[in-house]
Formats: sequence, C-alpha cells, structure tokens
Amino acid sequence: MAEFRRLSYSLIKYRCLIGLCPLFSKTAQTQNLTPCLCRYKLQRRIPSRYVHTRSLVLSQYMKSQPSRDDTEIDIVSEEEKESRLETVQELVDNEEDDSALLEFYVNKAQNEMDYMDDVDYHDIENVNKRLFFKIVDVWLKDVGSAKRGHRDFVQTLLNSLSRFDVECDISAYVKLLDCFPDGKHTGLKRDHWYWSGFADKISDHLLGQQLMFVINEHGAIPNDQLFNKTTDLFGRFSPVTLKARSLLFWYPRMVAHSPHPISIADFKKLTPTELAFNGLRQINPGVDCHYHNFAVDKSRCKEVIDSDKIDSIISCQSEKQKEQLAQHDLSIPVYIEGPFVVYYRLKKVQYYVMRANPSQAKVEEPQNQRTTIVSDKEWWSQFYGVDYQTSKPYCGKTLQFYPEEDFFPTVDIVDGYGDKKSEEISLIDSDTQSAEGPVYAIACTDYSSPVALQSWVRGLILDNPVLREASVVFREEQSFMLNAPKDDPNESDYENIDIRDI
Amino acid sequence: MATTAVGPCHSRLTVMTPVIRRWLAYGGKDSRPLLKAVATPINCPRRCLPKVGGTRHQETENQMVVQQEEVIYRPRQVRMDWLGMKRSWKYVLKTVRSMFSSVKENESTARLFKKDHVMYYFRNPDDLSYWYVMTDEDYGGHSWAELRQGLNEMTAMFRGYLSEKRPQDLLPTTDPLQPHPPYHGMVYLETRPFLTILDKREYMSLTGFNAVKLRLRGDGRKYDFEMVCDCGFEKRIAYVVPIYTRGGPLWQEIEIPYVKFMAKMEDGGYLLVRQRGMGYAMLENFRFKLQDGIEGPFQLEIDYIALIQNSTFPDEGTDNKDPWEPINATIG
Repeated sequence: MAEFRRLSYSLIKYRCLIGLCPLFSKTAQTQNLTPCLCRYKLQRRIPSRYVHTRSLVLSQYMKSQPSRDDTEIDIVSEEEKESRLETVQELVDNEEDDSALLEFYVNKAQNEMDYMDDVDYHDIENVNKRLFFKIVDVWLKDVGSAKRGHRDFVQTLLNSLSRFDVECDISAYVKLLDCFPDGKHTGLKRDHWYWSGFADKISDHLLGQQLMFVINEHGAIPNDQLFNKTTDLFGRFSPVTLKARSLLFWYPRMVAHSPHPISIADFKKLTPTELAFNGLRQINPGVDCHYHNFAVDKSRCKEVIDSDKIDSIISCQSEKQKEQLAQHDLSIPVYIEGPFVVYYRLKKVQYYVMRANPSQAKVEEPQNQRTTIVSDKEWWSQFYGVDYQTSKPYCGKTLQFYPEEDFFPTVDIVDGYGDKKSEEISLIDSDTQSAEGPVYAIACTDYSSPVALQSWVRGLILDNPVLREASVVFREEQSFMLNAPKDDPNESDYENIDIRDI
Repeated sequence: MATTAVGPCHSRLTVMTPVIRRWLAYGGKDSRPLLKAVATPINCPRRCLPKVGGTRHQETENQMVVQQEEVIYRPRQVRMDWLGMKRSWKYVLKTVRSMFSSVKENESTARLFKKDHVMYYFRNPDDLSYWYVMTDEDYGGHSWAELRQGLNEMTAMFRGYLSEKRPQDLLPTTDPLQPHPPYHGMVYLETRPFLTILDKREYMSLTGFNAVKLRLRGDGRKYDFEMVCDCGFEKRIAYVVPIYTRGGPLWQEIEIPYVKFMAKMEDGGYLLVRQRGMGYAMLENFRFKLQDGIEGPFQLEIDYIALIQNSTFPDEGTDNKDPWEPINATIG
C-alpha cells in the first residue's frame, strides 16, 4: 500500500512528463518495450547555435560522457544545465585549430581505405580524388540519415577542393549534393510557386548557390545530373535550380565564342609539346598549316632547359606564308624577332617570328607584259582564258576550271542602293601593312639563344629553298609582356592631372 | 517667452560630402553660382571664422612657437562654365544646320548610303582622348593600365599588369567554415561620353547595320567587349561578348552580329535572367574589359571599331532566348 501511494505521488509530481513515457510512443511499440511506470530518460535540449557551428565538438563531447542506462532519471536542474553549457563553451573557445573537422575525416578516410575501395572507385585514377569521395562516404556513414552538421562539412570541402585536385570535376560537386538531408519533412524543397516565398532553410539554399558559383569559377562543365539532383533536392522554385539552369544554358553559348575550346581539366593534362602546338594553332590559324618539330643541336647549343619546358623547336607555316617567303628578295635579310609571349588559356608560351621589313618588301611585277616571250601554254591560257588542249573556259583569272570552294558560300545580295554605297573600312584596312612586313613563319621554343634557332632555319630549308641563299638575322626585341613592371610607372604623372580633364 | 529649439548649426559646405566640396572647389560642371552668404558660418557662434592669409605662428603657454598648418589655396571657383556653353552652342548650330542640310550631309541619314561605318580609329594621337582607362585601384586593387599609341603609330595600345592580389578590405578568412568571397582583378578601357547641349549625354546609334567589326591584336587573353545600349537613370543594361584574342604578330578581324550579344547589368557580373532586346539607337559607350583571373601583364592593340552589314548574319536570333525564362524570372 505504501508503495502504491509512493508511485501515485510520483505520477502526480511528474505528470507533465507523461507524454514522453514509452507507453504511448511509437518507438516503444516498435522496440517491444513493456509498458511500465519506470524511470525514463529526459531528452537533453541543446541550443541550436551550437549545433550549427560546432557539431563535431558536441558529438565528441557527448561520446566522452559516460553512457547512462535508460532506467535512470535525468532531470536536470538549471545549475547543472549551465555547468554543462560552460564545458561546451570551453571546448569551443579552446579549440585552436578550426580545421579539425576536415582533418578528422581526412585521417579517418585514410585509415579506412582498403581493397574494396579499388572496386568502388575503379574509374578514378587520381589518389587525391579517391580520398575526396572516400571522405564524403565516411561522413555519410557516420552521420546517419539526418545528416546533421551538413552545412559545415560542405562549406569546408568547398573551400578546400584544390587540395584534392577535384575542382574541375563535376562529379565531386554532384557528390557534395548527397550531403544535404533529403526527404519529405526536411523543409528544404520548394515545389510550389507561391508557398516557396514563405519557405525556411534559407542557409541551405544559400550554400547551394555558393556551390553553383564555385562550379562556374573553377570551370567545371555542368551536366544534366547536376540539374536533376538540385531539382530533386531543392525543388523547382529555388534559386539553386535557377543557377544550375543558367549554368547549363550559358556554358555552351560562352564556349561557342572561342575558336578552339578546351576545358581546364583537359588543359592540365597537356604536355609541353601539346601546349606549344595549341599555342601555335592559336597564333597562326589555318587548316593548311604545316607543323614541324625540329630537334636542337645540343653539341652547339649549350643552354640548359628544364624538362617541363619546350626542349625542341616547334614550327608552324601556312601555305600563304610559304608563297610569300618564296617571293622574298634575296638582297634583303630575313629577320627572326623574339622572344615574345602569348597566353594559351592559363599558361604562357614563348615564340619567335620570322619576317621581313616592310619598306624593303618586294613589289610584284605584272605578268602580262608585251616584253614577255610568247611561246608558252600558260601565256595562251592567260591571254584567252581558255585551256590550250581542251579549250574549256577558265573561271576568272585563276587557271582553274571551277571556283575555289569555301566552307560557307558567299552570297552577294545587291541592295537597292548597291552601286551608290560607300566603303570606309577599305580606306584604312591596309595602313598597317606599310608599317609591318610580312610574316613567313612562327616557332615555339623555350630556348633564348640564337644558336638554337639555327636548327629551325635548317629545318625549314627543305620546304623553303630560299632560306639557303638568304641571310637570316636574329633581332632581339624587348617585349613588354616579358618585362612588364608590377607597379605603375606612370604614377608620378597622376599628381598633375586636373579633375576637370577627367 | 517660448524658446525655439536651435538645431546644430552647420554651414552648407560642411553638410555636403567631401566629394562634392572638392568638385565645387575645383570648378566642376555645376554652373550655379555659389552664394557667399550661406558659405560663411555666421549663425554658429561657437565655430571660428576661417583664417585668411598665410602661415601664422601660434603662441602657446610655454612661449613655444608652433607653425600653423599651411592654408590650402584653392583655385578660383568658376561660376559659369564657359567651355560647356561653347560646346552647347556648337551643338545647337549643328542641329539647326542638320534641319536644312541634304540627306547625305546628315549623319543619321547618310548611313543608308554606307556599306560600313568606322566609329573609332587611332591614326592620330588625338584620337586617344576619346577613351579613358579605369582599374580596380578605386576599391583597393593593385593592377595598373595605360593607353598609348602603338609601336607603328597607327593604333592604340592598351597595356598594363593585372594583379589578383586582394585589397585589404577583402582579405580571406582563415576559418574554413566561412565562405571565401570571390575577388578578381579588373581593368577596362571605355569611351568617353559625348556631351551636347547643357552636358546632356548623346547616344550613338547602331541602326542601318548588322554587326560590329573589330580589328585588334591581343595577347591570347579573353577580353569582354561591352556596349551599353539602354536608356535609364542609374542602372543601365550592357551587352557583352567575350573576345578570345589569338595573340601573336598577325592581326585579328572579328565580326560580331548584334544578335550574339548577351545582356547583363552594367555594374554586375552576372547575365540577366530575362534577356531583352538591344536599343539600337541608344548606344552610349564601348568598353574593353579584362577580368579573366590570370595574374600577369596584358597588351591589347586596337586598329578600328566599325559597323558592317553582312547579309549572312541573322537580324533576329534565338540563341540567347531561354524557354524557361518566364518561370526562372520569378524565382530567387
């Protein structure tokens, strides 16, 4: 009787806590707990600000506490609560290294790497990339379905992508989207055009926007998987999906403006020779260019170059440049100017130019003169515009039956005022030709001595016999790109500027 | 007797921002006369009147002579902007003459008789005065740039050094839980606005032609060619196209149809979600901008900028039209 009275008094005393009794909870039913008026564990409430910022610390702290049985009463007084918060705050303040979260999982992933990972990540060759994906998998396994602390984790990984060589890989960003909690009740999805305006979880969407921004900054190529995952996670009416859609829309349009697009991921895999070739193709465009790779005579040239740099001479010459060189006047020297620098994507490429001076350029003599000897078939075809043997008419002044085929057809649509329209560009188009001579060839090399360039000339002699007789002079140019100052040399002039002139 | 609350006594000059104060002092474009009575702080008994004259020695208690700071003599304040009035009168005469001139003499109608129209070219060194250079030094950056004549004395050379060093206000945090705000060095070359009657900005027009033709020689970097084609009070829309320069010794001729330009806000770095058509008669300026994120020197030589009519280019394009636009414009 006394025990019954004691129990009833305890029921009255703790009547506010009856709702948490396992008698009425689903977990009790699932776990087959016998309903009893036993002591139970009070759910500990932790302020939300600690969860968002230092979840790892708390999880470590909670693990370090001794495990209590479920039968113990855990009614916490206010003094105890404050003392517990103080200990957490101490841990937060004493933490010197803020990168503990990332280092913790890096070490854990490295320790847990085993032979099965070779199977799981068989398509990834780079070890650092494998480590990145392993870290995310380890975190997902540790954290559970709730994925608590996902914002810190995703932010730290976004700030340290270059450490794992993963910044240009879109699959890494798609993998990061797996770290967000996914489900019906997360409150993350914005699928209604109206109710999305009142939606919460703004920080998650902001983090997603930042993820999209980082994709754009590092030059990763967006794909449909990225867009589909963001829509499944964030919903149709979220700024994250808008950014993913704009990435998918604008990336191919921006790339279409460049004549020879190459992604940053492929660019990083280029060898020095391939880099030189691509740089030359950028400088000297044309489908009919001839590319050669000439070895430098190392017995003569004593210059030492690193293995990462271009060890030989890679030359490029188009058909038109060949013809111009064939018509070069032998009384004038051929100049090799350099070294110059050009940017190919992120790297610089050093090149030399073979050209002649403008003022001494040879003037083409007209071919159809009365003083020429009249005994050639060529004269006949030029004079009559007809083939000598078949008497077929030629097309224009060229000795060809059919016109030159262009990739795109040229359409001359005559407007109403076609005869009366004036042209302005043709008046100024050829002004620079008088100041700059014709270019004969361009070569790419990291050598700086003229002895190395002799092998270039020797290599070009096969296709251009003019070089055997012409004199080649090396002219060293002071290029601004190689010797540009980092500080403004004109700073002293700015003191005398009047504001009225600006 | 009721006392009236006397507020803080500030003269008109001290209330204004320092920028406007300096602008007026150096004879800015404000042609309104400055009232002397308001300028002098008569109503403030506590404030001392400004000392007029040279340096004076101030005697302290210890009889130590301390040299006073030198008074800054500002140039005489210009009340009437005579140069501006001259410029305005010139345009008044020009508009009156255009009413009585023939079709070919009038600039706008002369375009019908032209195949192509050269807008800017640099055969004279005076042609450089139509452009000006701006860098990220205005907000703490460390890049520099200059505009000068090219080596062949027939072109303009825009060159300098682009620095990715962050300004002091934007230093990154060491906390890995904080996002790293983006920063890229920026440098641009822009045309000066044409000012007409009473300093009104005059628009250029793109009518009568189909595409923009540029002849330039770069260094292999990606420059953004922008045209501000919008009428607005503060925020205007610019139309952008990326130019991937080849570099090298050969000149590069680029023909860009109007249809290929992408709309973005003049100040912002993002393209507009809702793309809108270009105002052909409201062209304000051209701009060559470099913001590709690569630290190093740059060099861009420009020969001419012209407008051409190419019948193979389309007049109306659907390249930049997104079918998801009506939905995407309401998000975010």
